[in-house]
Amino acid sequence: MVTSRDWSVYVHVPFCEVRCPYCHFACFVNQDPDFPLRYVRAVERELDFHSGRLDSARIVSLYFGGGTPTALSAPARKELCRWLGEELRPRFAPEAEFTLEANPESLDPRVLDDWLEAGLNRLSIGIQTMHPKVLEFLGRRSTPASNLRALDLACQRVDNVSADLIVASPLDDWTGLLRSIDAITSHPVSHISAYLLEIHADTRFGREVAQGLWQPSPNDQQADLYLRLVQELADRGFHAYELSNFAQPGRESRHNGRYWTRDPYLGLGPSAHSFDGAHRWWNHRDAHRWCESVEAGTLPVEGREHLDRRAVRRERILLGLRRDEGIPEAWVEDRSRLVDDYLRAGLLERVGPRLRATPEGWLLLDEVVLRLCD
Amino acid sequence: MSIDPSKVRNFCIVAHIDHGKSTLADRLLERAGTVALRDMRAQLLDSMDLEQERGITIKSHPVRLDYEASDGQEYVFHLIDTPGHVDFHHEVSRSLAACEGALLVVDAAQGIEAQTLNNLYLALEHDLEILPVLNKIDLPSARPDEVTHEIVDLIGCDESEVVRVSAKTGEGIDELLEAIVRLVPPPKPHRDKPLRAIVFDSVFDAYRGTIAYVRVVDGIIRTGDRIRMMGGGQIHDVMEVGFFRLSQIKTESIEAGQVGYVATGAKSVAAVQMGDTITSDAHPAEEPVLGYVEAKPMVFSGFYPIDTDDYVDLKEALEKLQLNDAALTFEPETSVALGFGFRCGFLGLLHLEIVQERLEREFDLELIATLPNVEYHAVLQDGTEVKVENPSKMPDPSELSSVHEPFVTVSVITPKEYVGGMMTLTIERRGAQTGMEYMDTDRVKVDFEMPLSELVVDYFDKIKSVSRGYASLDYELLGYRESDLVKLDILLNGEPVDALSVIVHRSTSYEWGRDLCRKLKELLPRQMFEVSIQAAIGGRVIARTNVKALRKNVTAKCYGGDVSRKRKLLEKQKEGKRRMKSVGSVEIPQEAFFAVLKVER
Ligand SMILES: Nc1nc2c(ncn2[C@@H]2O[C@H](COP(=O)(O)OP(=O)(O)O)[C@@H](O)[C@H]2O)c(=O)[nH]1
Ligand code: SF4
Ligand SMILES: [Mg+2]
Repeated sequence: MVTSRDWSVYVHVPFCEVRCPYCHFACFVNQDPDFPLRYVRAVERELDFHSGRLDSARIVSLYFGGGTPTALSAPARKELCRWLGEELRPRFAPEAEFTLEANPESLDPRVLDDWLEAGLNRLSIGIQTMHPKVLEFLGRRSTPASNLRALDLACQRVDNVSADLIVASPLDDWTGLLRSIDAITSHPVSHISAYLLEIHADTRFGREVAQGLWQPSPNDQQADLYLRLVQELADRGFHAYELSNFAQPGRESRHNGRYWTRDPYLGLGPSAHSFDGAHRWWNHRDAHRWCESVEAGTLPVEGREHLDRRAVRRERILLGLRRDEGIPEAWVEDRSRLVDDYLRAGLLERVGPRLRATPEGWLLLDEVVLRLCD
Repeated sequence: MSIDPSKVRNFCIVAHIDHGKSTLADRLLERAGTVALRDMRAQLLDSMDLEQERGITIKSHPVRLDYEASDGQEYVFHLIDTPGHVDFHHEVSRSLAACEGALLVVDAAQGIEAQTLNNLYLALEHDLEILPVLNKIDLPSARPDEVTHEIVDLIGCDESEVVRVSAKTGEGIDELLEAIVRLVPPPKPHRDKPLRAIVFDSVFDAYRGTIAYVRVVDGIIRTGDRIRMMGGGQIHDVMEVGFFRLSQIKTESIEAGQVGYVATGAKSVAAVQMGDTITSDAHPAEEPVLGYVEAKPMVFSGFYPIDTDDYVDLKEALEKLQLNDAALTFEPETSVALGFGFRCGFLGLLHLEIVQERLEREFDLELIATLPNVEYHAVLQDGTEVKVENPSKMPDPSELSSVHEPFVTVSVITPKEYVGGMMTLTIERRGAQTGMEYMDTDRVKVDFEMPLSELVVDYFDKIKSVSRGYASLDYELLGYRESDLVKLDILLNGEPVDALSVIVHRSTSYEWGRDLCRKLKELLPRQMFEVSIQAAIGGRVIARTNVKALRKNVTAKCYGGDVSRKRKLLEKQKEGKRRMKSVGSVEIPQEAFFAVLKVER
């Protein structure tokens, strides 16, 4: 077991108010009023399982994702925030990053206050788009107005705010995308995550597309939108430090960054993933199953793998090329013919001893990585 | 085992495909009491899965029947059901050599068809007594009198000699059995002469080695004898002999005049070639039964494993199939595009398809088969001749003095209203008519000469479709003739893809080039670079197009630290990619190699 002083903690909150038609995350619409509190207690207990690991460690980042963390019931939230303040906060490294994912419609000043009190210093808001038709298509319950209200509120209370965008859904075009960017960047937002819409088979969108009810927007169009987006955000002072993540200087997400640099993190809650430098393991995806396991005093782990050298190598390339820092060219020196092809085609570029993907290369990263990994 | 030779009748059944050979064999088996009713199923002799499924007979199937005739005597029939497809002429021919008579079966509704004629001529070449059988008289569409006249005209027999049967209902079968006793001559065996037995088929058995299906012409074979192949020269010790029921029945010996099997223990069918004559090693005969003619492959195709790791398995599978199929040839070859594989030779397209299907089914191999081609003879400037079995190996035009290709005579019998369509098709395929003859008021037999290469791809299917299935076809090799042929190469990003080269007539090369490029454009997935597709003859590009570059394939979100999933996906894709073939940096999916087949002509 690798021990490290610096750990990140991810907490998965599986509750959502509705199920978005494109979503393949582990979340559900809860009907049991007692379950959220049970869930919170189980999270607390799950951390205890790892106390040995964390005793000598510092928490450099904490991230509440979901699901919709802001959708927790009030008693559950109160308990969670109490615990955070009392148990977790004392272990924080100085300037630890503490992020919460929030849906605009469930972001409420009182909710926010509780979290701020627990130590929150970064907020990631699921704006997705400012286009009313697209919001509707995406099955979001927010409106352009509620999006704006959420941005206002967030920026008043929190210094470090990130907005999420979904790019290239079928109704999306450059004008619409620009409108969303305008709305976001007219606020003091310091970070933007922009994800190309992915259609997963086991979602409503996936089924609709399979039935031929509609078609994802064409690849070329998606590529055009993405390239313009990268340029536009750069012009507005947000540089792409990862293929879907854009930040003002110094405002890169430290938590997500640690995934890509393969630093250790502990995941709590259903479906959460953990990594200690040599192993990866992941929790039961089903919230009740996870909960029952924790309550029974057993690790709620569904699977675990030890990474051999080849796996490590693959991960490094696969994750490294997602970042603007890229990878040392030496990692792929056995693929120099391909690398030359990609350099010539403008998919990769050389920065000193390192190779990194260009925006065109990012668009084809799955293809590039597939061929560069042995 | 001693049987009075005068009580033996050796005959085969020949017919155009689907006229009812196998069904008729079923009835004879049933009537002669060989098969208990509970074992009866249709097409009993077709034992291979493929034969049952496709309803075609691929191998010769011998069986022995015991028949008590109306004269109160017991007779022993050796019946051989022969393959019914033009590809297997050779097998038919060898089976005929084992018999004294042939039942020429004609469908009472269809009348005489192309293969009826060819089979008849073959049987006559072997001096067989022809017993004409009019089958399917139960069909409402049967035209028994008319077809009987056709038969009478054809073989010059008496109307009364044509036995009318229905292999379906059993009507007329008793008469047929009696006619066999009466008309098929008994063998004239010479028990005391040195052993001669003709091998008309052979199968490989894991325990007993190669088992030769034989007709003993002279002498006797016993278990334990040391035998010699007159053509091949191999010596074998006889492990077992016997005769055929539905399974093989062991006996002590088989004698002149009889049909049976000889287990040789030989580890390969090549050591017991079909058509060869078995003789005694101690007292060899002087002359073989048949002038030994090797079955020559007419059609070639490159077989490549999709997964390169399967090369050795493919080799072993081909070797195994060859144990049972002497007409199958294969030689290792390498292709820039496809890697290591084999250039395989076949009797014809059906043979090719069957081998491919068996490799896939029985050996679980996934293959890419290149477009079938014929063997070309290229004469170089310096006068030397090279045989070209792989289009990509055709010498450069600058070195060539001439190219020769095999021609065949084709006869097509068709209702007259389809003659026009058929002629158009045939002329497009460089066919030249050599004769035309009315079979009756409605049907015409047209003879052509055409290059075999034009026939092998899909001529047969096309003929069937222009004639709504009514035309029948047969063909025979004529010889090599000079043609104005060119090699058309396909280049992807400037690099030739050897497996896509085709040899075509100069007059149609432009259309070919254009259509091939267009088809490939449809079949090539977009890649990370733009791909140019060119068709070229001797380095000169005659058609081109391109496939635009792929621009997006990325997982936008690597969520919540779930790196394992992403990596496993990558590993799965890597597995899939191993199966892709590539030339230069262009990755080519399997389907693209069939592009040539799919070009609409
Ligand atoms: N109605 C009818 N159908 C028959 C008769 N004999 C054969 N068939 C059918 O004709 C088809 C071809 O018969 P098959 O024995 O496979 O022909 P083969 O290709 O010559 O072996 C099959 O569907 C048989 O059931 C017959 O006497 N009457
Ligand atoms: S809010 Fe987020 S987690 Fe919940 S269903 Fe929608 S996309 Fe999925
Ligand atoms: Mg048959």
